[in-house]
Amino acid sequence: MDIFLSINNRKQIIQLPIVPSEFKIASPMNNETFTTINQGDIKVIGRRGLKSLTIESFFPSKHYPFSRNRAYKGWEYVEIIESWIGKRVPIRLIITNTPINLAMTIENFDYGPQDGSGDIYYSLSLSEFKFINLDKKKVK
Amino acid sequence: MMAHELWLIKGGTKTNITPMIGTLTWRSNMAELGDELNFSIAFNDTNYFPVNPCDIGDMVVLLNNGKEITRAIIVDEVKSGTAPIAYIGFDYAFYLNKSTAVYQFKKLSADACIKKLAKDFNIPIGKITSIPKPISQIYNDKKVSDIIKDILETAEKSLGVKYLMEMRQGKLYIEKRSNVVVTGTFQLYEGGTKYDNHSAIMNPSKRRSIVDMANTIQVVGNNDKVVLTKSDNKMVEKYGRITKVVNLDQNEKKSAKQIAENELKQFSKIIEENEVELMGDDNFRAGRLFKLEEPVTGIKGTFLIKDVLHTISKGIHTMKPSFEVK
Repeated sequence: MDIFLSINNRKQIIQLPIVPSEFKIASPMNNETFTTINQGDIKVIGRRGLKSLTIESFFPSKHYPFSRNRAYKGWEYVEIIESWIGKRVPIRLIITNTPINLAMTIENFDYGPQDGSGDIYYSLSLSEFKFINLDKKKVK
Repeated sequence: MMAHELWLIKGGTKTNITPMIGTLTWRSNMAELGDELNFSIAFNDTNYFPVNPCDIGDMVVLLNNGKEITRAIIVDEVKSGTAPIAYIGFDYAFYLNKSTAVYQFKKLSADACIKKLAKDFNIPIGKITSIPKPISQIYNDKKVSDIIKDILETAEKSLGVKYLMEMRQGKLYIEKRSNVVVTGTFQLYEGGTKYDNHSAIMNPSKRRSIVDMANTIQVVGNNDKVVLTKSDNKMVEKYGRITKVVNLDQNEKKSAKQIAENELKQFSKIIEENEVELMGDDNFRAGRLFKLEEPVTGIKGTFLIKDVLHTISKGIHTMKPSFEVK
């Protein structure tokens, strides 16, 4: 399993050098509970919410033998992701060996050094981005 | 369950703007002619978001599974920062509600008067039923919708018939208020059982009042003399005498008794106002009838829908009708 992040139709791609040991995708629903006078509470199924996930791992400062990718080092990864935040564009998340291939927005990016190794530990929170296409027709 | 859709009509193109809309509401009210539609459009200034296509003066059409519910002209726009842009639309009756005019009618039947008004203001007519009441009246600087209302009230008083006025698919309909009772159903999920609306009643409230009661009618002629007084004795005994004066037109003297009786029928009663919240059904419109029984507050009977607010939020359709004893 590898994790790829990219923008603008793969114009810039990052392969995460260290894959987190686990992650979970949240797939919420906007259901509503109505309190009725004769049935008590009833549940009404609403529409799908936005999927989200948080990736927690680190960007190595040097090349470890177990790194999946050695294109960049430590802070370089941070710079790229920070530049994406500045560009205000959705990013694409692809996780190989899974069906996950989603356009996402960066909701939060926490990072910083830890325990003197020089590696940058981070937590990247992503939320689903839906492209909107407006259906157009000719008026008869 | 993509049942409701909002389409924007601009020139020769129609655009389905539903994907950009948050909460959508529409309402109709007996006291006002025409439906009001409210919606907000998500706004964002990045390239990845569609440019807001709506503008003042554009038309929007609300559909449910392809069937038209109502159509409205956008008349009001509020932009505040990066918040969703709020729009208010009204159906064509807006032009009748906002225009004032001068009209003189001489013994023209009520339906012919209304047809003339609609024609003058370019309101397409669906159907205007025959209303055999000659109208002789001068209206000076009156709201056009008020002129129509006044004509209908005059006819109702004299004929004892109630009329329903509504816009459907952008056309004006005036019909005898039918005794057709609307029923509502809802589904908890697509393909699921259709439940009657009565099985999920939320927030019922009931108000009873004699504040607006009149149990004695005094009919006054144009020489300021009382032509006749008619009382609902039972109601006077129970609640005390409350008198309403009705001024008669010169040519209506013969019908004084009829007018007094019609007025008593309308005003000599306890006014009851009932409200509930139900799962939504498009058939609910002001002016229609609904049969409701709710044992906790004691709402029971067949009621006139005075107004109704439909809301679609998070894809869920609910409505708040308020009822009047018919």
